[in-house]
Amino acid sequence: MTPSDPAEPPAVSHPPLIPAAPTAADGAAPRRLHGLSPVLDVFPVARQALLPLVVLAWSFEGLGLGILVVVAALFVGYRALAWSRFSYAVVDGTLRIEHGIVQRHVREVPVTRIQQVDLRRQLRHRVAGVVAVRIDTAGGGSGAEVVLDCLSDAAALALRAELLDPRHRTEPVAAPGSLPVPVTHPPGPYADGGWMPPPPPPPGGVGFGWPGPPPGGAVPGAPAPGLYPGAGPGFPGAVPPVTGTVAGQVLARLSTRDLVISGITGSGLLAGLSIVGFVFLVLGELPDAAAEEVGGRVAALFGTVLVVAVALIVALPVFLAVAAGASILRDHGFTLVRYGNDLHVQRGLLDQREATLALHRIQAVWVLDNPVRRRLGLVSVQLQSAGSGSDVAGQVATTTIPLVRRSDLATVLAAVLPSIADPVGMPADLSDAAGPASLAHAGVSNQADVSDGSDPGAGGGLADVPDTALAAGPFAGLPVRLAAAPAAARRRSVVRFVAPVPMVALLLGLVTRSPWAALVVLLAVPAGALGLARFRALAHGITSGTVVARSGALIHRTALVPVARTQSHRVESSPFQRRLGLATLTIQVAGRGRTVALVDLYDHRCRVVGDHALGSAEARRDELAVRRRTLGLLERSAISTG
Amino acid sequence: MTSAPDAAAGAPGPAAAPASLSHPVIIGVQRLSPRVLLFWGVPWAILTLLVALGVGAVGLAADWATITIIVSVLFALGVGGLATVVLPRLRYRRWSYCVTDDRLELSHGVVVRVESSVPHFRVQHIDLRQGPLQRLAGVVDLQISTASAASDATLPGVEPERAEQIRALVLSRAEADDAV
Repeated sequence: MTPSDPAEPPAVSHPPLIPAAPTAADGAAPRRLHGLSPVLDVFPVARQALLPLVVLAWSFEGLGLGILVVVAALFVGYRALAWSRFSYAVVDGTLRIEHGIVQRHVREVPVTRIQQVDLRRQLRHRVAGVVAVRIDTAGGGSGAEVVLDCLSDAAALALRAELLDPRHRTEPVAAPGSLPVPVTHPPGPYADGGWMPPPPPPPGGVGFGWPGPPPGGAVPGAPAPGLYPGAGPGFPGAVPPVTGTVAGQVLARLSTRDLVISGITGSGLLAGLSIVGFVFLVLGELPDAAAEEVGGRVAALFGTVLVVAVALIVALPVFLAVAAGASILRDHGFTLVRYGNDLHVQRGLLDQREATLALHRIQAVWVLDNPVRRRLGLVSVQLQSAGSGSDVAGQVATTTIPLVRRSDLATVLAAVLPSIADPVGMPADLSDAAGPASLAHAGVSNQADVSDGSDPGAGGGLADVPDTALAAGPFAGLPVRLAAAPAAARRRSVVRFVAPVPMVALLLGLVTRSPWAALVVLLAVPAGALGLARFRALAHGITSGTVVARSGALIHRTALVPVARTQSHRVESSPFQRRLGLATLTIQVAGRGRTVALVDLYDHRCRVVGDHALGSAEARRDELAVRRRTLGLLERSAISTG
Repeated sequence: MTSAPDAAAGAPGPAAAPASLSHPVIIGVQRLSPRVLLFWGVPWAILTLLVALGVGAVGLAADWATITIIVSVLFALGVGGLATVVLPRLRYRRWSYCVTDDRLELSHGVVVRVESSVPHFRVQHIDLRQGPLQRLAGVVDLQISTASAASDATLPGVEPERAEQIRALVLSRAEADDAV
C-alpha cells in the first residue's frame, strides 16, 4: 500500500479484535471475597429471623442461648463453605464468577455489557472495613445483577477500575475488515482519569473513606472545574469542587442543614407516623388490664381532652425530629457530580452508597414539591431510570436529589437532561381546533397561577418566546414555558373531587343512622378547593427534545421526559372527556416506572404531542443512528468483499 | 400532515384513521378477524347463566311465588342473552389497527376509547398466543412488547397469516438497541 495509490484504504493499524490476554497485574487470577464474608452474612439473615430466634431463646430458658450459638455457628460454617467456593476474576474482557457448593455455577459477563458498578457500605461493612459491590449488567431477567457482598476497599476499587476501564470498552466486531467501534467511556473521577483513587491523604483528613477534599483545602495544581455547555453560571451551593479530580460538574451537595430542612418539609414526616403506629401496636399487645390501667391513670391525671392536646403538642417535635433524623441517615453527605455522560452519587451516614448512573439511562425526571416547599422555594428531583438492562422485568431505579433550590433547578435540569437545553421549538400545528381563543398558542392562559410567582402578563405564545428566554419560566423555576389545561378541564377536576362527598355522606348516614352524617357534606367545600388546585396545577409543554407534564393538587409533580426515551404512547378518553373534546395522553418509558400522563388536554393537542414524542427527529435519533451504523457496516463489508 | 381530529364518538364502521397518520401506510386500517365473535361472547354467556342460577336460588331460598321466580330468571336470561349478543359486536366494531412505515397504531374500547401507538423501532419482542378458544376459532393473539411494562399493544384475534405478516414487518424494522 503506497500513499500514491488512491484506491487502497489508508494504512491503519487495526487493534486486535479481542484484547490481548491480561497480565497478572490485571488480576486475572480468581479472587475470593473478603475473609470476613461468612460472618457478615449472618447479619442480614439474623435481622429477618430475629423475632423467631428471640422467641426460640425465650422459650427454652437456659438452653436458649446455647441453641442460638449452635445455630449461628452452623450457619457461619455453611457460609464459610460457600465462601470457599466463590471466586471472581476479570479474564479476557469478561467478568467470570464461579460459585456453588453442590451445583457449580459459572457466570461470564462481558465487561462491555456492564452498565454500572455501585459501592455500598452498610454498618456491618464499615465495622469490618469492607465494601459491597453491585454490578449492573445490560442483560435482562433475574440474572442481571451481580452482588459481591464483601470486598476490601482496595479490592473493590480495583475491581471497579477494571470493569470501567476504557481499555475494555472496545466492542469486537464480527465483520472482517471493518474497524472496531470504540465506545468511549468518560473518565473516572480521579486525577489520572481512572477509577482508582490517589493515595490516601494524611490521617485526620478524610472521614468515611470517601475520596473527599484533603484537609488543607484545594490541592495546588488541581484542574479547575469545567462547565459544560448549557449549564448555568455557578454551581448550586457555591462550594469548591471535590479536589484531586478531573473536571466534573457538581450538581448538588447537601449540608446537614439542607438535609434537616429536607426531612422536615418532605414526605419523611410520614416516618413519624410509623412511630405512632408502632406505639399503638405495642399498646394493643398489652393485656387488657394493663392497658386499661395505664389509660386510666393517665386520664385520671389529666382528663381526656387535655391528654390528646398534650400528646399532639409533644408528638409534633418528635415527628419532625424523626423525619429529620431519617433524612440525615439516608442522605448524609449527598453529592451529585456529573462527569461527562455519567452521574456520580454519594450519600448515606450509616449505610453509605456510591453509585453511578449513565445519563442515557435516565428515562424521566420528576420534579416534586409540596405547599411548604413551594413557599420556601425548594423542590426535590427524582431521576427515574430503567434499572438493570433492557428487560421489562428490570427494577425501577430512582435516584433522588432530596433538595434543590428553585433558582438552581434550571442548572440541574440542563445537566441531567441535555435535551431540555434545546431552544423551545413547537410544531407549527399546535393550534386547537376547538376551545377558547386564548389557547391558540401554547402559553400561560391561566391567570390564577400567581402563587408560583408567575407574572400574570406572561401570556402569549411559545412561538413568541425568543430562544434566550429559557430562564425561569412562570412555572416553579423550570426552564420551559408550560401551557395550562383548557378551561373545560376545570369543571372536571372540581367534579372529580366533590362528587364522592355526598356519596360518602349517604353511606355514613346509612351505616350510622344519625343525621349528623349530613354534616359531611360540608367537606364539599375543601374538596372543591382541592379540585381547583389540581386544575391550576395541570400544565404541559414541549421542547424539541422533551415533553413536560405537571399534575397534582397539593403535591405538584412535574415530569420531564426526553423524547429519545419514549417507548410508546396512548391517548385515552372517557365519555365525559369525549363530550368536552378532551383526552388524556400517557407516555410510556422503559422499565416499570410511573408513566407520564398529560391529563385533560384537547384531543388534537394530545395527538400532536404524542406524535412529537414518538416521531420527531429527536425521538428517532437512536433509530437513525442505528440505521446509519448498519448501513455503514454493510457498505464497508461490501467494499472489502467486492 | 395531520388529519382531522377524531372527535366523533359514535362513528359507525371501522374507526376513522388515527390523526397521527403522517407516514406511509403499509397495512391500512383493519378490523380484527370476525371469527373472534365466536368466542368473545363466551364469558358473557357464562356470566348470564351464573346470574340466572343465582336469581333462581335466591328466589327459592326467599320463597317467592313460582311465577316470580320464573319471570325473574327469564328476565336475567334475556338481559344476559342480549349482552352476550350485542356487547361483543360493539367491541368488535370499535377495534381497529393500522401499520404504518414506522409504527403500529391500535384503536379500541367501547366506553373508554384507547388509541395506542408503538414505533417499530421500540419493539423488543412479539408473542403469538393461541388459547383453546382461539384455536377453535382459528385466530391468534399478537402481543407486542417494548421496554416499557405499561406498553399496551395486543391484537386479540387476528388471522394467523395476517399475524405472521405483521410480525415479519415489525421485526424487520425493530432494531432496538441496547441503549435503553
